Amino acid sequence: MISKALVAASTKPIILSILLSRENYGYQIIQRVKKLSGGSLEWSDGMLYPVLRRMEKEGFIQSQWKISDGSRHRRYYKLTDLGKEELMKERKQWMKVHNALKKLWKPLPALD
Amino acid sequence: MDESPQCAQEAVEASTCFGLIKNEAYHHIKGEKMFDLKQAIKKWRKELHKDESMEDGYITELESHLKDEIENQLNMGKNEEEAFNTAVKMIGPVDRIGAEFHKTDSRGLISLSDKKKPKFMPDLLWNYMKVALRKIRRHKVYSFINIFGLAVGMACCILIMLFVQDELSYDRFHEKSDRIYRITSHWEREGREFHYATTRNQMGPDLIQEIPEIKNAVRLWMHRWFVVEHEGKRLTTDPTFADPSLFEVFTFPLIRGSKEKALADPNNVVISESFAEKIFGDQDPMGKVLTLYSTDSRYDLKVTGIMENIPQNSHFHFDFLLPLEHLRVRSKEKKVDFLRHCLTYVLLDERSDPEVVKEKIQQYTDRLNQERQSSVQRRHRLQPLTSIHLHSDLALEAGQNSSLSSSYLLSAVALVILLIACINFMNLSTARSSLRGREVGMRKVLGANRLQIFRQFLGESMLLAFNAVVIGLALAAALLPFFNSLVFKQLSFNLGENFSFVMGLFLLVLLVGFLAGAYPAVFLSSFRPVDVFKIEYKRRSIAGVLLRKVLVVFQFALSLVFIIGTLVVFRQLNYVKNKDLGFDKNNVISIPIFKDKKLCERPELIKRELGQHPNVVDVVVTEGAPGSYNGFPVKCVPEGYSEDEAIDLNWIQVGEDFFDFFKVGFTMGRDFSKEITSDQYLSVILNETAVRILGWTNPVGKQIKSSVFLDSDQKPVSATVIGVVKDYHNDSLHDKIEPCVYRYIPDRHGQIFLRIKPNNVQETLAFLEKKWRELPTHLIFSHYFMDTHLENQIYRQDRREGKIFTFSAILAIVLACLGLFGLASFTAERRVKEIGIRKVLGASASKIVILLGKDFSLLVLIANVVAWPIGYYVMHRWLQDFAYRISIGWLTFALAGILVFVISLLTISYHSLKAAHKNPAETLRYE
Repeated sequence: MISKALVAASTKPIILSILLSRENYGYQIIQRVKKLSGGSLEWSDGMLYPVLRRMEKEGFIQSQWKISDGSRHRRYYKLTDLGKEELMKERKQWMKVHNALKKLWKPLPALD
Repeated sequence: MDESPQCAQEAVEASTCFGLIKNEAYHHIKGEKMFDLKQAIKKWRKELHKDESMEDGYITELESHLKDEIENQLNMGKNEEEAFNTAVKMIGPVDRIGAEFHKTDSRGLISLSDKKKPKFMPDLLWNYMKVALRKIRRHKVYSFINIFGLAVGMACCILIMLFVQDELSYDRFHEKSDRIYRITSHWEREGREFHYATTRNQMGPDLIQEIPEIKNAVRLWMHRWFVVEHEGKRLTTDPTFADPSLFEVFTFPLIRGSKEKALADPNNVVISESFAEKIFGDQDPMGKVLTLYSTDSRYDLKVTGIMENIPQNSHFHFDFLLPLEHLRVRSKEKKVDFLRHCLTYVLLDERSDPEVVKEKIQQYTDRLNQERQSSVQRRHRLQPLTSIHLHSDLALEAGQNSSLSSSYLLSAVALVILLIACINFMNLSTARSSLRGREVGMRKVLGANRLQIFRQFLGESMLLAFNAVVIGLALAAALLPFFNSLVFKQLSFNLGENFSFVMGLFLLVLLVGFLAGAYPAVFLSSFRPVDVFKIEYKRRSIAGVLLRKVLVVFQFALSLVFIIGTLVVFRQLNYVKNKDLGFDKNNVISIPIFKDKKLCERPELIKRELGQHPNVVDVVVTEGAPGSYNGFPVKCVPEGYSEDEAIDLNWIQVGEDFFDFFKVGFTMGRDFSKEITSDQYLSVILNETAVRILGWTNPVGKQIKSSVFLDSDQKPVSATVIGVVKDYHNDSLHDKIEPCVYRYIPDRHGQIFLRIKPNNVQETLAFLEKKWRELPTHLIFSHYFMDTHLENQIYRQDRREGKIFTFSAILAIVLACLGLFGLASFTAERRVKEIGIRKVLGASASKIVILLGKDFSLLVLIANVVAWPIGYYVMHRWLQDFAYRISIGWLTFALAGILVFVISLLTISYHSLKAAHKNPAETLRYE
């Protein structure tokens, strides 16, 4: 299990990264997160939406209503240019942390 | 940016404890036996809706998520109920999500209050009510001015609402009213246009055959003032003749008798409930015989039906209904033409288009014209039944119709009065705003925002408006009889039955509450606490004071216009009353007899019998009374004119000694004489206007040719002018004196005029009535005095307008002064210390009164300047309707101005004097 603080911190880069490849709607985003983390990143599904709303307000993503699967109304989210920049910033920060930890933890101790 | 991880963190927290939070949607469905997925989703969505933070978009998005998850769960092999419950659990607790959205959406606002569901009813509602009621109780004078003023304004509006509602309700009581149309006729001859409410008599029956869209037709014709008798009891009524289809087309319910048989026989009659009661009393009228006296014969009719009284809001009324067939049989007996024209109403098919029908009627008429080679091209229109009352003013209407102009006039008056009351409210609330300033400041400090304060004050004015409407209703009920006499209606109101009226009242409260309350609410809610709590609070905003002054000027200008209007109308009516009309109308009794042909033929008998009493000075039997009868226009060829130059002159038939009786003097020639037989056939008398128009200097002996006199070959014959009379007003003063030609006919006149001595009038009348019964006539003795008749009937409309002006002027000035009174008292109160200091320094009481009165006097002066041109314009237009009128004159304006000035000064002086006489020791005690 990953700690709450870490989950919270990683939410934004994860969502931005998922949206980098293509636009997506809420349910799919959740599914991808679950799949990628093998279930270790656990979110309350509904809580994703206020996060998306906030990110949209901040200008990182943009949403659009579409009708798919027959008649289901879905709000698709798309990365904006600002969002891409933000993702780059996040990515640099996370990489720095990652590299620092990697150096500290080298050579890799045996995991048990 | 830094908040998003925090948000996500909370999301995680929420997810860990979701098991403890019960889902309401789940609960709802648990009790049911069968699980209905759609219902469950619907209930879940409803729960989301309860949360005010959830916008519709969010809900749709969450719902679509839920459905996706449910599908996913179903694919994994779960049943619907399990799938739903799992999906709900996975989404997590709704209220946490809502809280998260609230946080996101309210970011950026200054106050980041905790999320709380907003309520429809503000929590402070009871507090608002308490404060409002306390203010009403503690400031009785202001509350009275406000509530009473608004109540008066509303009472006016309520009455006008009733009036307009009644005007619009005409003829709608017929079940098929939207499909009934009246056919009207229009044509032009010799450059003159003719518009008739009637058609050819056969039109209705023919059209049923010709045009399939016309389902039914009714022909209607009315006679006036016939006498009906039953066992010696006589009544005058207006017999109405109609096709039996009347009962199928219109909705006139029968109390007795059947619709099919009531008008089956020519000698049947259907009477109204009230007529039956009048003539039969307690007896059963069915099958009884009524005698109808026509002008020269009598008919026995059998009562075969009793109908409900025709509602007042019908454009025609009758008590006494006969089949049209009766008229036809009668004319056949006498070998005269059957009714030539009549009112024709048709019933159209539900699906038909009136325009198409109109076209078809026209095609039919054109064809008929061609067949008959008629020279006159008639056109026909279809008039919707429900529009007749307000939009039709044709010749031969079934009765006097109304027009929209009275509705407009009355509505304008009511709105102006309401506006004056609203202005009082606005002025007093803003002027006294400092008294509420602290309250506003305190509420704001404690967290109220501007909108809440605005709502509070608007609510307060609504409360006042509601109080006012209750009082207004009572006032309206009290004023209703007076109003009814003003508008010649029998209005009544019944709140329980009249739903649209209640809705109207409700709207009125909203309108008045808003109109009066919006500006004060905006003004009061704009106060900043930091200003309000300063000890030296400078409340005066220049704009507010200026607006107040403008509004006061506006109020007084409106009142002035009404007062000027009243003065002008009454001066004109006084002029009408006292103007020498050119004939003597005093002490003249008139008795109409034209419904008894035999009596008409015996003027000698009438003169002999009725003239016996010593109080009867003079008697004349003639056609119509001067002042209300203007003869009929005929094309004439006067001597020296060619046939092409024929001009219209009004021909008036007079009886013996007509000019002598009415004291109309001769300028030239002589009166008609009974002894000279040619006077009956070949002599005429002109009036001065006719002489002037013809340009004759010596008219006596000249010839006038017209179709009035014909020789044995029906060719026009010339008549000789034997005299010229002075002009007198044949018609009302609305019209110019027209050129008239008088012709002498010794008998067959329809009216008796008696000049009596002014003393012992009752005795004279009793004598006349007694003598009347001895005369060989079926007519009932009915009489009127000529002078009052002229005044009340001919100038009825003008007198009514005079009353409306007076009434509105009084209301307007009373309301405006009430407002002024309130403002003056407030000013005096605020300046009490200033006045104290002035007095200490030696100012006299009179100086102080002048000081306080100066400002208001100036406003009233400005109001005069504004009102005068408006008043002049409006009244000038009103007077245009009179051919003979007063000039408005500056005196009227001066009088109105002085009147308002004095009234307003008196209003202010009460407070000024009170303030001026206060002991400075008391007012300055705490300084």
